[in-house]
Amino acid sequence: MYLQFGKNFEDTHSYKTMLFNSIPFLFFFPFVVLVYFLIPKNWRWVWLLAASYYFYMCWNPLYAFILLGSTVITYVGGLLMSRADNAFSKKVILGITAVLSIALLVFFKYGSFIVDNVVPFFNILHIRIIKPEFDLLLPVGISFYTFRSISYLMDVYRGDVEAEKSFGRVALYVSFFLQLAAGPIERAKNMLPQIHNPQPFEYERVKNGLLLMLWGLFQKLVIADRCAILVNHVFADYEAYRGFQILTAILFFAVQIYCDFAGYSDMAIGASMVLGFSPKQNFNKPYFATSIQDFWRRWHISLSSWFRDYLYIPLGGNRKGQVRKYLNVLIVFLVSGLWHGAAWNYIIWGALHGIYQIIGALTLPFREKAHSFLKINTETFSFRLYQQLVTFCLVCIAWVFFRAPTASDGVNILWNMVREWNPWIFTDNSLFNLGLEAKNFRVAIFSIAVLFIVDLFRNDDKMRLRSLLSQQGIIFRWFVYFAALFFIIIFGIYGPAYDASSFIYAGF
Amino acid sequence: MTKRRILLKIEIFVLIFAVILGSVTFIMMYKNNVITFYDEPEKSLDVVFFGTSHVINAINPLQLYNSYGTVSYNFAKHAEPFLQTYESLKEVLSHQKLKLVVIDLYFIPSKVKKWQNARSRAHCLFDNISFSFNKLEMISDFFEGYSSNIDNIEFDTIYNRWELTFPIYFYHSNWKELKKNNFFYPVLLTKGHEPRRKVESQKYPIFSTNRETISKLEKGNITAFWKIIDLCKKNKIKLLFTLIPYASTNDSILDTKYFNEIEYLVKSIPNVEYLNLFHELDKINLDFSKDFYDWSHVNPSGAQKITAHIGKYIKEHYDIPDRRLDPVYAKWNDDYKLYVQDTFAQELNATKNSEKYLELLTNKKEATNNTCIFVVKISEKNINSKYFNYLGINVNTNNCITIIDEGKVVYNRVASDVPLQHEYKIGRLPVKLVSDVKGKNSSIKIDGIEQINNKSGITVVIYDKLLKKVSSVRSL
Repeated sequence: MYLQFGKNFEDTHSYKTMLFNSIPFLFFFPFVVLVYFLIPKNWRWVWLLAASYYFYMCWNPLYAFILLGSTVITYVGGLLMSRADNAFSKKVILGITAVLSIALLVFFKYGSFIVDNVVPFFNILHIRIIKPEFDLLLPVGISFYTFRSISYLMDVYRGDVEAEKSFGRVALYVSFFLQLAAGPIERAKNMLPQIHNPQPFEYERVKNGLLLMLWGLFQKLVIADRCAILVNHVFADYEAYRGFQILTAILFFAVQIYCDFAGYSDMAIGASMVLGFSPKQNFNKPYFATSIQDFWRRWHISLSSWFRDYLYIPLGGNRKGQVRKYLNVLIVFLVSGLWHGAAWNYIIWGALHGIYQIIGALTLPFREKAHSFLKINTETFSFRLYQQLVTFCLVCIAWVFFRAPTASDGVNILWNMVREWNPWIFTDNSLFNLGLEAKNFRVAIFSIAVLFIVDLFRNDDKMRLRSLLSQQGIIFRWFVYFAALFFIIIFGIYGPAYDASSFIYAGF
Repeated sequence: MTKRRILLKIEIFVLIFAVILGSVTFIMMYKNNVITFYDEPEKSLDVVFFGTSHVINAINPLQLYNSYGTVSYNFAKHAEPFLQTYESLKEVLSHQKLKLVVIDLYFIPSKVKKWQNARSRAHCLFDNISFSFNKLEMISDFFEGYSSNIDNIEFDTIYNRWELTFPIYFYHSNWKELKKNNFFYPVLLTKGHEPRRKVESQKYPIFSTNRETISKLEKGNITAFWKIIDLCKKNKIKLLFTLIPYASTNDSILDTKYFNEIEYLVKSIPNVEYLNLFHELDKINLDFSKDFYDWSHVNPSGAQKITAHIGKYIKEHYDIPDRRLDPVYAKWNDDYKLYVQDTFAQELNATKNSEKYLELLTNKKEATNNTCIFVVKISEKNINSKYFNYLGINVNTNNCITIIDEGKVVYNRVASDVPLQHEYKIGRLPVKLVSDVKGKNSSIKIDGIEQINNKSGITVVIYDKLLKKVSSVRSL
């Protein structure tokens, strides 16, 4: 079964799953935290490992064997490399273990995709190939833990981290439940020392972690899942829509995928903070990016830095001339597309981002000359805004291919958007016929406005909202906490009234 | 920060959260006849009725109180599985010390497997039960007793336990539909009774007399049956099983073989009786052409007859005190009056025929004596009704304003060409009336709020002094 967007929801949506926004997790997580801080420090990693495997087995107990297999490869590979006495042996061990890890990923994630695309090719050559009948479920989070494993192997190979002697601790690094299903892809050199040195309970850190989890929950339940209703409605029947209707759906999808993924990341990071870990930031206001290159420095940072360190640089990076550099960029983004899903539309999405960057680099001298000739001050707010808008538009065009069922659907959706001018949908209430009726639409717009304001001040040292809040009196602070909690409880999209979508990234 | 202070903060936070969550859930959720049970003072009730919608519709505790002074509550629930009746009894006994428990057996042969909309039904059963350990036990027993029997994938998962424990999960999206009523506790106390107003003629039932061993019934139901008997015995409560009549949907004989068997069984059990109302249809005087809402449920007319019959039976067979003159139960008198007023308003609003409407206004003195009736006419036509005479008002000119306060005509002016205007007060509430046929202006403003907005012809507005609201607006 190859992964398509529509299928993601089916594959991962089950009452037995334990996503961060599920009711069982509301009880599971506090229990894990309570026991974690009550048991001796030396045993904490054992508890987290048990919790991680239980968490993962809630999806499907059989998945645990794949996870275990991947862990064994990682552990043995690291250990063998640390004992290898020459660089060549190390390289061979790295090659074998990395290939084995990737083979697991390819088999489960890309098996059907490869067969589906290889068989027609051989048919053209009149070579008959019997197509094997795959009936494989895509194990949740396999893309994430495979990349974590490879990161560990590469770091051991490079000498950035020492090979871990304890199998259990490697197993916890690979399977850490808070980052298991949808990242972030934490590096071994950041994570393993933290597993070795568990932190004591610290009120302020726990509080901040919980606040971050709450913010993530808001992004996921209130914004992403609400936007998903409109997006699913329009994309499922895009032939019936034109112009601004399609544009609205594309903009909502841009918000949906950001809030879905950043929301999940914030919940994962917040929950890790509660347990005393300090994960790296995974999103940094990506839609405020002034170029595609800048966008990828802000979007899914743990993944893009992984590609930079373990693919782009080993390919030669920008050290082997301009042509090779552009080729490397293209390869990285094609692989990134493929990583997101075993389908052509993801590959096109990745290719578009690669091409954007190449064209951006190629046209940079001309654009700089034009700015100089036209005496455009590039340091102004208006110019930055212009750059942000252009970048956002390019990202949105690529998102169409990411969300569309097939590549040709993506083209048709864009064509349907530009072929008709219908701004009256904003005044004749037909905007509310896109699957999201007026009241829910207004909640979506209000929540997106809140998201925009919070993102605007994120990482702004002068205007840190969390520290501003912590300076206020307890009544005001608690009022804000309860208001946020109950806003999510009331306006969140969950429960039987909605077919709440799973986290988009849990299927990757 | 010390550990103690952190713990205290967490405790206070969780407490406030629980209070707000409870309030929000209350606002959002569907409320049924069970919710007001918790308003009854602890250990104040003598009799409680259990069963399904048959009981909800047929037994009116306020009528029982008015006729016999019996203080009771109708704790029946729509489509309550029999196993749950045992749980409901447990819940009631954790708040009340009863003298008599009345349980209708209609659902004892039913199989939960045939449930439609199982999820919504389960919510109807549990959501109005107040949060307690007993409720958690009820939910747990429900799943253990029935989950394997329900043909519904929704019900074999852990999710539904969370969902029934914290029903906000089910109701939160109701924020779009919230109305003023959602924010207030149900004002009218009917003690659990829900009348259904419609008349549908039904076939007279023929019921079988053969018997079948109850061991063939669903195991959970049989267990519940014996557990109910044990629980009543343990608490020294008398137990009366009933079978409230329902109609036949076709010409076939009603299958009552299990009910007949139970009737036979309970004869040998002390303090347990069985009242099969199918055997008493003549005494009840139940009219199958007029007294039914549908084949399964009686309407208010049928309810009045069944309640009267059961009330009489209880009075004659059990030692249940008459509380009508007991000052501790004075509130029941107020509740009864409110019930009468509300029933009157519902009857008026359900009446489509104008003559019938005026007839009700004329004849239901018990209710109209607690109202203020405003009549305004703007019409060149004469509208005749004998009831205008009965009401003591003259409306036979173009313009007319009449006020009947607590059954007495306190103002009646008519004019053919001159516009009429009058101001009145109901307590502190100002009322302004205008009748001007030429200016096509008719108006009744109560406390500044327009009620009729230039309606032509004769318009009647009834303000209920006990319910403290406009209970009916009607153009004749």
